[in-house]
Amino acid sequence: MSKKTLTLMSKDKQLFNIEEHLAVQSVTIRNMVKEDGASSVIPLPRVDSETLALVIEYLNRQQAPEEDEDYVKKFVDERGEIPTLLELAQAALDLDIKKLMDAACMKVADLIKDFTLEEVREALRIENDRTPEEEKAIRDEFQWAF
Amino acid sequence: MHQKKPRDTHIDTMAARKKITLPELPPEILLFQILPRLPAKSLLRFKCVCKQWRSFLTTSIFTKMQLHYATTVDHHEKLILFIPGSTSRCKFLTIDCEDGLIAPPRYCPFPGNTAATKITSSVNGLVCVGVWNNAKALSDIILWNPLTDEYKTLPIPVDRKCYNIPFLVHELCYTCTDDDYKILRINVHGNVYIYSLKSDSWRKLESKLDHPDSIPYAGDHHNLLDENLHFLVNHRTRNLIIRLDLKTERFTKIAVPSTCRDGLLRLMVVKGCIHLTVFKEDFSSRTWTIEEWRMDGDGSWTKVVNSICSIQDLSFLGPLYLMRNGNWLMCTKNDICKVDPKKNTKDHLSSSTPLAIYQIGIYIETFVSPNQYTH
Repeated sequence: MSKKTLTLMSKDKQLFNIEEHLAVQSVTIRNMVKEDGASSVIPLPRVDSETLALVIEYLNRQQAPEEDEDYVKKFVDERGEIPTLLELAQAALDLDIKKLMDAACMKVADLIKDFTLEEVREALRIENDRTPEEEKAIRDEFQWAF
Repeated sequence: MHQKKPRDTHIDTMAARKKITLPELPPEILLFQILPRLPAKSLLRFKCVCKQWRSFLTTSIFTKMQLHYATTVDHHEKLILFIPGSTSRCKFLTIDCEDGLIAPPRYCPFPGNTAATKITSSVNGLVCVGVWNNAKALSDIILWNPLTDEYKTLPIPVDRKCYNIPFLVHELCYTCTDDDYKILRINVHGNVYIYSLKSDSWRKLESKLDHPDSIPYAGDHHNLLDENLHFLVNHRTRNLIIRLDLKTERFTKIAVPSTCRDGLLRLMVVKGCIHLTVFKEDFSSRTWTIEEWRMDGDGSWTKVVNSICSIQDLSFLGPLYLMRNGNWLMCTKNDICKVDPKKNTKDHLSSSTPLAIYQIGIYIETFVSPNQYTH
Protein backbone atom coordinates (compact mmCIF):
# COMPACT_ATOMS: atom_id res chain seq x y z
CA MET A 1 0.00 0.00 0.00
CA SER A 2 1.50 3.33 -0.99
CA LYS A 3 1.68 6.05 1.63
CA LYS A 4 -0.63 8.95 0.91
CA THR A 5 0.86 12.42 0.97
CA LEU A 6 -0.84 15.67 1.91
CA THR A 7 0.19 19.18 0.91
CA LEU A 8 -0.02 22.03 3.44
CA MET A 9 0.19 25.66 2.38
CA SER A 10 1.54 28.36 4.70
CA LYS A 11 0.31 31.94 4.98
CA ASP A 12 3.09 33.06 2.62
CA LYS A 13 1.93 30.45 0.05
CA GLN A 14 4.78 27.98 0.50
CA LEU A 15 3.91 24.32 0.02
CA PHE A 16 4.97 21.50 2.35
CA ASN A 17 4.44 17.78 1.76
CA ILE A 18 3.83 15.38 4.59
CA GLU A 19 2.64 11.78 4.78
CA GLU A 20 -1.00 11.62 5.72
CA HIS A 21 -0.56 9.17 8.62
CA LEU A 22 1.84 11.66 10.24
CA ALA A 23 -0.20 14.75 9.42
CA VAL A 24 -3.29 13.37 11.15
CA GLN A 25 -1.60 13.78 14.55
CA SER A 26 -3.14 17.20 14.08
CA VAL A 27 -6.79 16.83 15.03
CA THR A 28 -7.69 19.71 12.71
CA ILE A 29 -6.12 17.98 9.70
CA ARG A 30 -7.60 14.62 10.75
CA ASN A 31 -11.08 16.13 10.69
CA MET A 32 -10.47 17.76 7.29
CA VAL A 33 -9.27 14.45 5.84
CA LYS A 34 -12.32 12.68 7.27
CA GLU A 35 -14.72 15.23 5.85
CA ASP A 36 -13.59 15.63 2.26
CA GLY A 37 -10.63 13.35 1.76
CA ALA A 38 -8.44 16.48 1.53
CA SER A 39 -7.16 15.56 -1.90
CA SER A 40 -6.13 19.11 -2.71
CA VAL A 41 -3.85 21.52 -0.85
CA ILE A 42 -4.74 22.32 2.77
CA PRO A 43 -4.33 26.08 3.36
CA LEU A 44 -3.15 27.26 6.77
CA PRO A 45 -3.70 31.02 6.52
CA ARG A 46 -2.46 31.84 10.05
CA VAL A 47 0.83 29.84 9.98
CA ASP A 48 3.94 31.32 8.36
CA SER A 49 6.39 29.08 6.50
CA GLU A 50 9.11 29.14 9.17
CA THR A 51 6.65 27.98 11.81
CA LEU A 52 5.07 25.42 9.52
CA ALA A 53 8.52 23.97 8.81
CA LEU A 54 8.95 23.47 12.56
CA VAL A 55 5.54 21.87 12.91
CA ILE A 56 6.34 19.49 10.04
CA GLU A 57 9.67 18.63 11.66
CA TYR A 58 7.80 17.80 14.86
CA LEU A 59 5.15 15.71 13.09
CA ASN A 60 7.86 13.77 11.23
CA ARG A 61 9.68 12.77 14.42
CA GLN A 62 10.55 9.07 14.72
CA GLN A 63 10.31 8.69 18.46
CA ALA A 64 9.27 5.69 20.45
CA PRO A 65 6.09 6.58 22.36
CA GLU A 66 7.84 6.33 25.73
CA GLU A 67 10.47 8.89 24.64
CA ASP A 68 7.92 11.29 23.21
CA GLU A 69 7.58 13.45 26.33
CA ASP A 70 11.33 14.05 26.47
CA TYR A 71 11.49 14.68 22.74
CA VAL A 72 8.84 17.40 22.72
CA LYS A 73 10.49 19.08 25.71
CA LYS A 74 13.86 19.07 23.98
CA PHE A 75 12.23 20.21 20.74
CA VAL A 76 10.86 23.40 22.33
CA ASP A 77 13.98 23.90 24.47
CA GLU A 78 16.07 24.15 21.33
CA ARG A 79 13.77 26.90 20.05
CA GLY A 80 14.02 29.05 23.14
CA GLU A 81 13.17 32.36 21.46
CA ILE A 82 9.90 33.70 22.78
CA PRO A 83 8.50 34.98 19.44
CA THR A 84 9.21 31.62 17.76
CA LEU A 85 7.62 29.73 20.64
CA LEU A 86 4.52 31.92 20.55
CA GLU A 87 4.08 31.37 16.83
CA LEU A 88 4.63 27.65 17.35
CA ALA A 89 2.09 27.54 20.18
CA GLN A 90 -0.45 29.40 18.04
CA ALA A 91 0.09 27.03 15.11
CA ALA A 92 -0.20 24.00 17.42
CA LEU A 93 -3.42 25.42 18.84
CA ASP A 94 -4.90 26.03 15.38
CA LEU A 95 -3.86 22.57 14.20
CA ASP A 96 -4.88 20.99 17.51
CA ILE A 97 -1.59 19.26 18.32
CA LYS A 98 -1.96 19.18 22.07
CA LYS A 99 1.46 17.95 23.22
CA LEU A 100 3.31 20.51 21.12
CA MET A 101 1.06 23.36 22.26
CA ASP A 102 1.37 22.36 25.94
CA ALA A 103 5.16 22.15 25.71
CA ALA A 104 5.54 25.47 23.85
CA CYS A 105 3.28 27.32 26.30
CA MET A 106 4.97 25.77 29.32
CA LYS A 107 8.33 26.84 27.93
CA VAL A 108 7.20 30.46 27.44
CA ALA A 109 5.73 30.50 30.97
CA ASP A 110 9.02 29.15 32.28
CA LEU A 111 11.03 31.77 30.41
CA ILE A 112 9.01 34.77 31.56
CA LYS A 113 8.13 33.77 35.13
CA ASP A 114 11.06 35.61 36.70
CA PHE A 115 11.02 38.57 34.30
CA THR A 116 10.60 42.09 35.62
CA LEU A 117 7.47 43.93 34.49
CA GLU A 118 9.50 45.90 31.98
CA GLU A 119 11.04 42.70 30.58
CA VAL A 120 7.59 41.12 30.20
CA ARG A 121 6.29 44.14 28.31
CA GLU A 122 9.40 44.18 26.13
CA ALA A 123 9.30 40.44 25.36
CA LEU A 124 5.60 40.35 24.59
CA ARG A 125 5.37 43.87 23.10
CA ILE A 126 2.76 45.02 25.55
CA GLU A 127 2.11 48.69 26.03
CA ASN A 128 2.29 49.95 29.60
CA ASP A 129 -1.07 51.67 29.99
CA ARG A 130 -0.72 52.26 33.73
CA THR A 131 0.32 55.44 35.45
CA PRO A 132 3.19 55.09 37.91
CA GLU A 133 0.68 55.78 40.72
CA GLU A 134 -1.56 52.87 39.67
CA GLU A 135 1.42 50.57 39.45
CA LYS A 136 2.58 51.62 42.89
CA ALA A 137 -0.87 50.90 44.36
CA ILE A 138 -0.73 47.29 43.14
CA ARG A 139 2.88 46.92 44.21
CA ASP A 140 2.00 48.09 47.71
CA GLU A 141 -0.87 45.61 47.95
CA PHE A 142 1.35 42.62 47.14
CA GLN A 143 4.72 43.98 48.16
CA TRP A 144 6.02 40.57 49.27
CA ALA A 145 5.71 39.19 45.75
CA PHE A 146 8.06 41.77 44.21
CA MET B 1 18.63 33.18 11.73
CA HIS B 2 15.85 35.34 10.52
CA GLN B 3 15.68 39.00 11.48
CA LYS B 4 11.93 39.33 11.39
CA LYS B 5 11.21 39.25 15.11
CA PRO B 6 14.33 40.08 17.13
CA ARG B 7 13.71 39.73 20.84
CA ASP B 8 16.20 42.10 22.37
CA THR B 9 15.39 45.03 20.23
CA HIS B 10 16.63 48.38 21.45
CA ILE B 11 15.77 50.45 18.42
CA ASP B 12 12.23 51.05 17.42
CA THR B 13 10.86 50.50 20.94
CA MET B 14 8.43 53.35 20.47
CA ALA B 15 6.94 51.64 17.45
CA ALA B 16 6.84 48.35 19.34
CA ARG B 17 5.08 49.94 22.29
CA LYS B 18 2.18 50.92 20.09
CA LYS B 19 1.39 47.30 19.37
CA ILE B 20 -0.57 45.46 22.01
CA THR B 21 0.87 42.01 21.36
CA LEU B 22 3.21 40.43 18.89
CA PRO B 23 2.23 40.93 15.27
CA GLU B 24 -0.80 38.84 14.31
CA LEU B 25 -0.80 36.91 17.55
CA PRO B 26 -4.34 36.53 18.84
CA PRO B 27 -4.65 36.98 22.61
CA GLU B 28 -5.96 33.46 23.23
CA ILE B 29 -2.45 31.99 23.45
CA LEU B 30 -1.14 34.53 25.94
CA LEU B 31 -4.23 34.91 28.11
CA PHE B 32 -5.72 31.43 28.00
CA GLN B 33 -2.68 29.21 27.52
CA ILE B 34 0.41 30.90 28.94
CA LEU B 35 -0.75 33.03 31.88
CA PRO B 36 -2.58 30.15 33.63
CA ARG B 37 0.65 28.12 33.57
CA LEU B 38 2.67 30.76 35.43
CA PRO B 39 3.41 30.40 39.14
CA ALA B 40 0.87 32.31 41.23
CA LYS B 41 3.54 34.58 42.67
CA SER B 42 4.60 35.74 39.19
CA LEU B 43 0.94 36.40 38.41
CA LEU B 44 0.60 38.67 41.43
CA ARG B 45 3.39 40.81 40.01
CA PHE B 46 2.15 40.60 36.44
CA LYS B 47 -1.12 42.26 37.43
CA CYS B 48 0.93 45.44 36.94
CA VAL B 49 1.86 44.66 33.33
CA CYS B 50 -1.21 46.29 31.76
CA LYS B 51 -4.89 46.95 32.41
CA GLN B 52 -6.04 44.01 30.30
CA TRP B 53 -3.95 41.57 32.35
CA ARG B 54 -5.09 43.09 35.61
CA SER B 55 -8.76 42.64 34.81
CA PHE B 56 -8.30 39.22 33.21
CA LEU B 57 -6.26 37.86 36.14
CA THR B 58 -9.11 38.64 38.53
CA THR B 59 -11.86 36.83 36.59
CA SER B 60 -13.33 33.57 37.90
CA ILE B 61 -12.55 31.85 34.60
CA PHE B 62 -8.87 32.66 35.07
CA THR B 63 -8.96 31.45 38.69
CA LYS B 64 -10.34 28.10 37.46
CA MET B 65 -7.71 27.76 34.71
CA GLN B 66 -4.82 28.60 37.04
CA LEU B 67 -6.21 26.15 39.64
CA HIS B 68 -6.31 23.43 36.99
CA TYR B 69 -2.61 23.84 36.17
CA ALA B 70 -1.59 24.35 39.79
CA THR B 71 -3.22 21.06 40.81
CA THR B 72 -2.34 18.89 37.82
CA VAL B 73 0.37 19.90 35.38
CA ASP B 74 2.86 21.76 37.55
CA HIS B 75 1.83 20.61 40.99
CA HIS B 76 3.84 22.73 43.38
CA GLU B 77 2.98 22.33 47.02
CA LYS B 78 4.20 24.64 49.72
CA LEU B 79 4.59 24.31 53.44
CA ILE B 80 2.98 27.04 55.46
CA LEU B 81 4.35 27.63 58.94
CA PHE B 82 3.15 29.76 61.81
CA ILE B 83 6.17 31.18 63.58
CA PRO B 84 6.59 33.46 66.60
CA GLY B 85 5.05 36.85 65.92
CA SER B 86 3.04 39.37 67.87
CA THR B 87 0.30 38.61 70.39
CA SER B 88 -2.45 39.94 68.16
CA ARG B 89 -1.43 38.61 64.75
CA CYS B 90 0.00 35.29 63.54
CA LYS B 91 3.21 35.49 61.60
CA PHE B 92 3.75 32.94 58.85
CA LEU B 93 6.18 31.93 56.18
CA THR B 94 6.00 29.55 53.26
CA ILE B 95 8.50 27.03 51.92
CA ASP B 96 8.47 25.45 48.48
CA CYS B 97 8.23 21.68 49.03
CA GLU B 98 10.39 20.80 46.03
CA ASP B 99 13.18 23.39 45.95
CA GLY B 100 13.12 24.26 49.67
CA LEU B 101 13.07 28.02 49.01
CA ILE B 102 11.81 30.00 52.00
CA ALA B 103 9.69 33.10 51.34
CA PRO B 104 10.00 36.12 53.66
CA PRO B 105 7.61 36.04 56.66
CA ARG B 106 4.31 37.94 56.61
CA TYR B 107 1.46 38.55 59.02
CA CYS B 108 -1.95 36.90 58.74
CA PRO B 109 -4.72 39.39 57.84
CA PHE B 110 -7.07 38.10 60.57
CA PRO B 111 -6.67 38.70 64.31
CA GLY B 112 -5.53 35.84 66.50
CA ASN B 113 -2.71 34.85 68.79
CA THR B 114 -0.31 32.30 67.27
CA ALA B 115 -0.52 30.10 70.35
CA ALA B 116 -4.31 29.78 69.98
CA THR B 117 -4.49 29.33 66.22
CA LYS B 118 -4.27 26.02 64.40
CA ILE B 119 -3.90 25.24 60.70
CA THR B 120 -6.29 22.35 60.24
CA SER B 121 -6.40 21.56 56.54
CA SER B 122 -6.13 23.03 53.08
CA VAL B 123 -7.47 22.50 49.58
CA ASN B 124 -7.12 24.37 46.26
CA GLY B 125 -5.16 27.17 47.90
CA LEU B 126 -7.62 27.83 50.71
CA VAL B 127 -6.34 27.21 54.21
CA CYS B 128 -8.68 26.42 57.09
CA VAL B 129 -7.63 27.89 60.42
CA GLY B 130 -9.16 27.19 63.82
CA VAL B 131 -8.99 29.79 66.61
CA TRP B 132 -9.83 28.94 70.20
CA ASN B 133 -10.37 30.81 73.42
CA ASN B 134 -10.19 27.87 75.79
CA ALA B 135 -9.24 24.20 75.64
CA LYS B 136 -12.85 23.01 75.24
CA ALA B 137 -14.06 24.65 72.04
CA LEU B 138 -13.06 26.67 69.02
CA SER B 139 -14.19 30.26 69.00
CA ASP B 140 -13.88 30.71 65.24
CA ILE B 141 -13.05 28.93 62.03
CA ILE B 142 -11.43 31.03 59.30
CA LEU B 143 -11.04 30.27 55.60
CA TRP B 144 -8.02 32.06 54.23
CA ASN B 145 -6.10 32.36 50.98
CA PRO B 146 -2.49 33.13 52.00
CA LEU B 147 -1.61 34.24 48.47
CA THR B 148 -4.24 36.95 48.07
CA ASP B 149 -4.76 37.51 51.82
CA GLU B 150 -8.55 37.25 51.45
CA TYR B 151 -10.27 35.56 54.36
CA LYS B 152 -13.71 34.73 55.71
CA THR B 153 -14.82 33.96 59.26
CA LEU B 154 -17.42 31.18 59.24
CA PRO B 155 -20.83 31.65 60.87
CA ILE B 156 -21.09 30.00 64.30
CA PRO B 157 -23.14 26.76 64.06
CA VAL B 158 -26.47 26.52 65.89
CA ASP B 159 -25.32 23.31 67.55
CA ARG B 160 -22.38 24.68 69.52
CA LYS B 161 -21.06 21.13 70.15
CA CYS B 162 -19.80 21.26 66.55
CA TYR B 163 -16.89 23.47 67.66
CA ASN B 164 -15.93 21.24 70.61
CA ILE B 165 -12.36 20.04 71.13
CA PRO B 166 -11.04 17.36 70.73
CA PHE B 167 -12.26 16.11 67.38
CA LEU B 168 -11.38 13.24 65.05
CA VAL B 169 -11.53 15.12 61.78
CA HIS B 170 -11.48 18.74 60.72
CA GLU B 171 -11.14 18.74 56.98
CA LEU B 172 -11.64 21.33 54.29
CA CYS B 173 -12.56 19.69 51.00
CA TYR B 174 -13.77 20.60 47.54
CA THR B 175 -16.55 18.61 45.89
CA CYS B 176 -16.71 19.13 42.13
CA THR B 177 -20.20 17.66 41.60
CA ASP B 178 -21.72 20.71 43.28
CA ASP B 179 -18.68 23.05 42.92
CA ASP B 180 -18.64 23.70 46.64
CA TYR B 181 -16.10 23.95 49.42
CA LYS B 182 -17.03 22.04 52.56
CA ILE B 183 -15.65 21.67 56.03
CA LEU B 184 -16.20 18.36 57.75
CA ARG B 185 -15.94 18.11 61.48
CA ILE B 186 -16.24 14.77 63.22
CA ASN B 187 -16.07 14.85 66.98
CA VAL B 188 -14.94 12.04 69.26
CA HIS B 189 -18.54 10.88 69.72
CA GLY B 190 -18.74 10.26 65.97
CA ASN B 191 -21.10 13.14 65.18
CA VAL B 192 -20.51 14.65 61.76
CA TYR B 193 -21.02 18.34 60.93
CA ILE B 194 -20.70 19.77 57.45
CA TYR B 195 -20.29 23.40 56.51
CA SER B 196 -21.02 24.44 52.93
CA LEU B 197 -19.37 27.60 51.62
CA LYS B 198 -22.02 28.01 48.94
CA SER B 199 -24.92 28.03 51.41
CA ASP B 200 -22.72 29.54 54.14
CA SER B 201 -24.28 27.27 56.78
CA TRP B 202 -23.66 24.19 58.96
CA ARG B 203 -25.70 21.01 59.14
CA LYS B 204 -25.42 17.79 61.13
CA LEU B 205 -25.39 14.43 59.33
CA GLU B 206 -27.87 11.65 60.12
CA SER B 207 -25.15 9.01 59.96
CA LYS B 208 -22.62 8.66 62.74
CA LEU B 209 -19.14 7.20 62.86
CA ASP B 210 -19.65 4.06 64.88
CA HIS B 211 -16.31 3.55 66.56
CA PRO B 212 -16.79 4.95 70.02
CA ASP B 213 -13.28 4.18 71.22
CA SER B 214 -11.48 5.82 68.32
CA ILE B 215 -9.01 8.53 69.08
CA PRO B 216 -7.67 11.06 66.63
CA TYR B 217 -4.53 10.07 64.80
CA ALA B 218 -1.69 12.45 65.55
CA GLY B 219 -0.94 14.75 62.65
CA ASP B 220 -4.45 14.96 61.15
CA HIS B 221 -3.71 13.21 57.89
CA HIS B 222 -6.84 13.31 55.78
CA ASN B 223 -7.11 12.71 52.08
CA LEU B 224 -9.84 13.27 49.59
CA LEU B 225 -10.03 10.95 46.57
CA ASP B 226 -13.03 10.96 44.22
CA GLU B 227 -15.19 12.67 46.86
CA ASN B 228 -14.26 10.07 49.45
CA LEU B 229 -12.55 11.38 52.55
CA HIS B 230 -9.96 9.01 54.00
CA PHE B 231 -8.59 9.48 57.46
CA LEU B 232 -6.63 7.55 60.02
CA VAL B 233 -7.89 6.80 63.48
CA ASN B 234 -6.45 4.82 66.29
CA HIS B 235 -9.04 2.29 67.37
CA ARG B 236 -8.23 0.24 70.48
CA THR B 237 -4.46 0.77 69.89
CA ARG B 238 -4.73 -0.34 66.27
CA ASN B 239 -4.41 1.99 63.27
CA LEU B 240 -7.39 2.04 60.98
CA ILE B 241 -8.49 3.98 57.89
CA ILE B 242 -12.03 5.35 57.79
CA ARG B 243 -13.59 6.37 54.50
CA LEU B 244 -16.49 8.78 54.32
CA ASP B 245 -18.29 8.89 50.97
CA LEU B 246 -19.38 12.50 50.63
CA LYS B 247 -22.11 11.63 48.11
CA THR B 248 -23.86 8.91 50.13
CA GLU B 249 -22.56 10.28 53.47
CA ARG B 250 -21.75 6.75 54.64
CA PHE B 251 -18.69 5.45 56.48
CA THR B 252 -16.57 2.42 55.53
CA LYS B 253 -13.82 0.88 57.63
CA ILE B 254 -10.61 -0.07 55.77
CA ALA B 255 -8.02 -2.33 57.35
CA VAL B 256 -4.40 -1.24 56.93
CA PRO B 257 -1.71 -3.76 55.87
CA SER B 258 -0.71 -5.90 58.84
CA THR B 259 2.71 -4.20 59.10
CA CYS B 260 1.01 -0.81 59.47
CA ARG B 261 -1.12 -1.61 62.51
CA ASP B 262 1.44 0.20 64.60
CA GLY B 263 4.21 2.65 63.69
CA LEU B 264 4.17 6.18 62.41
CA LEU B 265 1.79 6.51 59.46
CA ARG B 266 1.34 9.00 56.66
CA LEU B 267 -1.68 8.81 54.36
CA MET B 268 -1.60 10.55 50.99
CA VAL B 269 -2.92 10.54 47.45
CA VAL B 270 -0.32 9.73 44.78
CA LYS B 271 -1.39 9.57 41.11
CA GLY B 272 -5.02 8.85 41.90
CA CYS B 273 -4.38 6.16 44.54
CA ILE B 274 -4.34 6.18 48.31
CA HIS B 275 -0.82 5.54 49.56
CA LEU B 276 0.10 4.69 53.11
CA THR B 277 3.65 5.03 54.37
CA VAL B 278 4.73 3.50 57.65
CA PHE B 279 7.88 4.39 59.57
CA LYS B 280 8.90 1.77 62.12
CA GLU B 281 11.84 1.74 64.45
CA ASP B 282 13.85 -1.38 65.19
CA PHE B 283 15.15 -0.64 68.67
CA SER B 284 17.86 -3.33 68.65
CA SER B 285 19.57 -2.23 65.42
CA ARG B 286 18.62 1.46 65.74
CA THR B 287 17.36 1.44 62.15
CA TRP B 288 14.10 2.56 60.60
CA THR B 289 12.05 0.63 58.09
CA ILE B 290 10.08 2.75 55.65
CA GLU B 291 7.35 0.94 53.74
CA GLU B 292 5.03 2.56 51.24
CA TRP B 293 1.79 0.77 50.36
CA ARG B 294 -0.64 1.53 47.55
CA MET B 295 -4.34 0.78 47.85
CA ASP B 296 -5.87 -0.47 44.62
CA GLY B 297 -9.47 -0.08 43.53
CA ASP B 298 -10.57 -3.37 45.08
CA GLY B 299 -9.20 -2.33 48.48
CA SER B 300 -6.13 -4.59 48.33
CA TRP B 301 -2.69 -3.28 49.30
CA THR B 302 0.55 -3.50 47.27
CA LYS B 303 3.92 -2.63 48.71
CA VAL B 304 5.65 -0.12 46.40
CA VAL B 305 8.64 1.03 48.45
CA ASN B 306 10.63 -0.73 51.14
CA SER B 307 13.75 0.85 52.53
CA ILE B 308 15.84 0.68 55.65
CA CYS B 309 17.20 3.89 56.99
CA SER B 310 19.75 4.21 59.75
CA ILE B 311 19.24 7.84 60.67
CA GLN B 312 19.41 8.52 64.37
CA ASP B 313 16.70 10.52 66.11
CA LEU B 314 14.15 9.89 63.39
CA SER B 315 11.67 9.25 66.17
CA PHE B 316 11.40 12.99 66.68
CA LEU B 317 10.41 13.53 63.10
CA GLY B 318 6.96 13.61 61.57
CA PRO B 319 6.70 12.85 57.88
CA LEU B 320 5.29 15.87 56.03
CA TYR B 321 5.79 15.54 52.33
CA LEU B 322 7.21 13.07 49.83
CA MET B 323 9.31 14.96 47.29
CA ARG B 324 9.45 14.04 43.60
CA ASN B 325 13.01 12.77 44.03
CA GLY B 326 11.95 10.30 46.74
CA ASN B 327 13.21 12.36 49.69
CA TRP B 328 10.95 13.21 52.61
CA LEU B 329 10.36 16.57 54.22
CA MET B 330 10.04 15.92 57.92
CA CYS B 331 9.14 18.04 60.86
CA THR B 332 11.13 18.05 64.07
CA LYS B 333 10.16 19.89 67.22
CA ASN B 334 11.23 23.20 65.80
CA ASP B 335 12.67 22.70 62.37
CA ILE B 336 12.13 21.14 58.94
CA CYS B 337 14.52 18.49 57.66
CA LYS B 338 15.06 16.83 54.32
CA VAL B 339 15.58 13.09 54.74
CA ASP B 340 17.11 10.96 51.99
CA PRO B 341 16.22 7.36 52.86
CA LYS B 342 18.61 5.96 50.22
CA LYS B 343 21.69 7.88 51.33
CA ASN B 344 20.67 7.91 55.00
CA THR B 345 21.16 11.64 55.27
CA LYS B 346 19.25 14.30 57.13
CA ASP B 347 19.69 17.99 56.31
CA HIS B 348 18.10 21.01 57.90
CA LEU B 349 16.19 23.15 55.43
CA SER B 350 17.12 26.48 56.88
CA SER B 351 20.87 26.82 56.96
CA SER B 352 21.03 29.63 59.49
CA THR B 353 18.85 29.47 62.58
CA PRO B 354 16.34 26.71 63.21
CA LEU B 355 12.75 27.69 62.52
CA ALA B 356 10.56 27.89 65.57
CA ILE B 357 7.33 26.32 64.40
CA TYR B 358 3.94 26.62 66.04
CA GLN B 359 1.83 25.22 63.26
CA ILE B 360 2.46 23.58 59.96
CA GLY B 361 0.32 22.87 56.92
CA ILE B 362 0.64 22.17 53.22
CA TYR B 363 -1.10 24.23 50.55
CA ILE B 364 -0.83 25.34 46.95
CA GLU B 365 -0.88 28.89 45.63
CA THR B 366 -4.08 29.78 43.76
CA PHE B 367 -6.44 32.73 43.43
CA VAL B 368 -9.46 30.85 44.82
CA SER B 369 -11.40 33.27 47.01
CA PRO B 370 -13.10 32.31 50.30
CA ASN B 371 -15.68 34.96 49.40
CA GLN B 372 -16.34 33.70 45.87
CA TYR B 373 -20.04 33.01 46.44
CA THR B 374 -20.74 36.35 48.08
CA HIS B 375 -19.01 38.64 45.60
